[in-house]
Amino acid sequence: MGVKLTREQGRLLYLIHLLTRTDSEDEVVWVKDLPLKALLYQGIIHGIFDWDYAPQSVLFHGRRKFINVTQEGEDDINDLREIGFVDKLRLSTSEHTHINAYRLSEKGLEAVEAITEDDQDAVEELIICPKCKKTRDVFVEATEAYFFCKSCNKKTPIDLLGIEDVPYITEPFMPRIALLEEVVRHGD
Amino acid sequence: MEIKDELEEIVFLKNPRIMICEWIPFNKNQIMTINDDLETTKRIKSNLFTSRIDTTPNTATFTTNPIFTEVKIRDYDVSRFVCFDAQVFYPEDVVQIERFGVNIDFSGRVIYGLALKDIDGRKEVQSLDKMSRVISDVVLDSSVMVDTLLSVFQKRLLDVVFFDDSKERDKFTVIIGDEITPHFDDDDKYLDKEQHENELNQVLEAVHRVVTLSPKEKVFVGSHGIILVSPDASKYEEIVSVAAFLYSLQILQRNVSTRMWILWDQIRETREKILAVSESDTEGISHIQEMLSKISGTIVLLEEITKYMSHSTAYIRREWNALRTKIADDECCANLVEALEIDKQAHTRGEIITDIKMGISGLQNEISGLRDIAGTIAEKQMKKVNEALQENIAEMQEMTRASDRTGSAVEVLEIILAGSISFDIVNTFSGEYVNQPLAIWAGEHSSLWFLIILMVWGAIGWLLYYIMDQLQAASEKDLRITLRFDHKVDTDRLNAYLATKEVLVSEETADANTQLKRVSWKEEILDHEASLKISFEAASGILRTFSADVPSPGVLTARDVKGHLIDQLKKAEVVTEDEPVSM
Repeated sequence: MGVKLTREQGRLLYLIHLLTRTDSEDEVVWVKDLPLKALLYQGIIHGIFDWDYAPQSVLFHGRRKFINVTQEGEDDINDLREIGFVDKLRLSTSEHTHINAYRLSEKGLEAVEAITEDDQDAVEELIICPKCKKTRDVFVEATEAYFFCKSCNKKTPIDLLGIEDVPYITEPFMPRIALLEEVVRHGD
Repeated sequence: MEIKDELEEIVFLKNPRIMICEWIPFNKNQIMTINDDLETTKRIKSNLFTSRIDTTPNTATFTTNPIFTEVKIRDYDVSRFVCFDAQVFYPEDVVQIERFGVNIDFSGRVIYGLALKDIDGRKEVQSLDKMSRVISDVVLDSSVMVDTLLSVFQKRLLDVVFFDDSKERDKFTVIIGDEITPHFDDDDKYLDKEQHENELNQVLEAVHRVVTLSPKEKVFVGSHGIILVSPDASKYEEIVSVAAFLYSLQILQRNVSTRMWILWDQIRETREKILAVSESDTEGISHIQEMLSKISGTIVLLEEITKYMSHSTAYIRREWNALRTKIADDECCANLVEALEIDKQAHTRGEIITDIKMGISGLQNEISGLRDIAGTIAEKQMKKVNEALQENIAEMQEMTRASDRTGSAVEVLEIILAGSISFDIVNTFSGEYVNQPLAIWAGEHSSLWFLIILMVWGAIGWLLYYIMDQLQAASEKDLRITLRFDHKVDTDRLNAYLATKEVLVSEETADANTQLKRVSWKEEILDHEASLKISFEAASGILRTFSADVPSPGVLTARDVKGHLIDQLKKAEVVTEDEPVSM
């Protein structure tokens, strides 16, 4: 193959593969950007991905929201795209916005064969229902993100919108503004 | 909620100050109102504020939640600006002492500035990782704080742009630090597509470029913020405040553009609905008109925002021109101006305003067109309702006539019954003709007697028929035939045809879209006098109806009248053989 993936990149590749694989020759399955972000965040919380995350303002169902975004995860998606393992599709939504969606390319499908069983197990643990061991769906609605297991009919929340607080102390800071000094001195 | 993950902190800033900047539509009048609300002219320049509204003005006390903002006025000009320190008291899960300086001026530039003294127990040097969490907190809290000072009109404008969810509106972030760690002389090392760039992206969203101003000074420019590193950043503050205005306006303009594209989508949906709506669906057209009104309302507000933008950019150009002269000799300042692309930004903001104006004009034209279509459909629907009403009235008149005829028939039956009873009564007194001379004669001439009875029966039958016919004629006042055409005819020929008639009445009804003309006259149909009336749209030449009222219905049939009317129009070459007509 000639391309050495990091552990995180391999797991990310396998995660996209799990979400988009299909037996149909007529259909192509893509994973949307927001659900993937939710999974990457959940993967960090459960130690599957060794990345950081931080709050970032994104378009969330047509509105601006702060969600937990991993820049390293985003960067690895771009790396996988750069080496041709992942295809990106940009499409319009019924909410009049544009979103991105991903799937594995032919090269990516070949590369996923080389993912170790340990990495596969770790990723499967993320999206498999702990109770019935079947694959869970991921939904991102206007106010929450969650896993949904059809067999158990159970929703498990993903705290994508839960921005963590840090304790901090600030003091007022006011930069000099040219127009205001001018106005004070000379008027309009 | 504490951080669940162990952060890998890579990039640090010494003595960081954060400026959260946004552009809100403001003018001098609104600055005056804010100065009044903040009581800037009073001796004690400090107050607590809450977003709670007193809904019980007659009571002596009230309760609030523990969310306050304490405001201490620093400086103000009654109609141009106000600067104040604000401390937000929100119940947070962790200790957060949030004090920031706020500048609001008549250009719409709003800056929330804060110096980070401590994050999670660490002082002086802070990581971008931790700062990103403080920034998200301040972005939300500043929206809540400033909302208490904005007018209803300003809040409405923001809600229109940010889809009724303006609390989480995006703002531009400026981070100023004395030093950056790690410090690379080679700027490209920060754009390594790995950990350093990722760390910068956490606060700048997408870092575009890194520029060295001087050996110890750098600026990092991203899509939603900048980081300025300088041990003496105060000399750049004026430049940064101009840049903050321009980039904040850019963010708002992006959101306005998004809003406009969504409006185009909504207009497309409305157009599809208009084309799909059935002419009998009055509910549907009413819903469409409601949708158009909502879209129109949004367009009006976007137009208002554009006016504010135009005024603001004029003010900021004046500030920038003055500042440019002031910093002309400073090479580092020139580097910063170039890195921040202030001239290009100032020019582009103006161009985008022109584009938005053009977009709004396009939206207004489109809405106007759709309103016309919806109005025409609504008018057609109204006409159909009127026609249906007239048909119902005609049917009811016919039912009344039928009822009158039935009444006449019943009266005849009553006469027959009365006669029958009369004969029975006579027979009761005179007997059954037994041994009477007439009975004897009838018995002798039975065939002749039978013939006489038949003749009498016939005579009585004729008499009854005549009486019933007269009664029916009396109940039917006239015969009315209306032919409906609804298609275009040759107006000149129609007018020539009408010119041959002795017109008794000619009237015109005009509205925004149609001009209906009605002409009536009298003429003989098969030697019987009738009133004829024709209605047509004078401008478009569409013949609507041609009708005849015949006051002596017994002598003419509907077929006779219809044939006469059509013959008249064909002879005058107003209609052809093939044109459809309905009764």
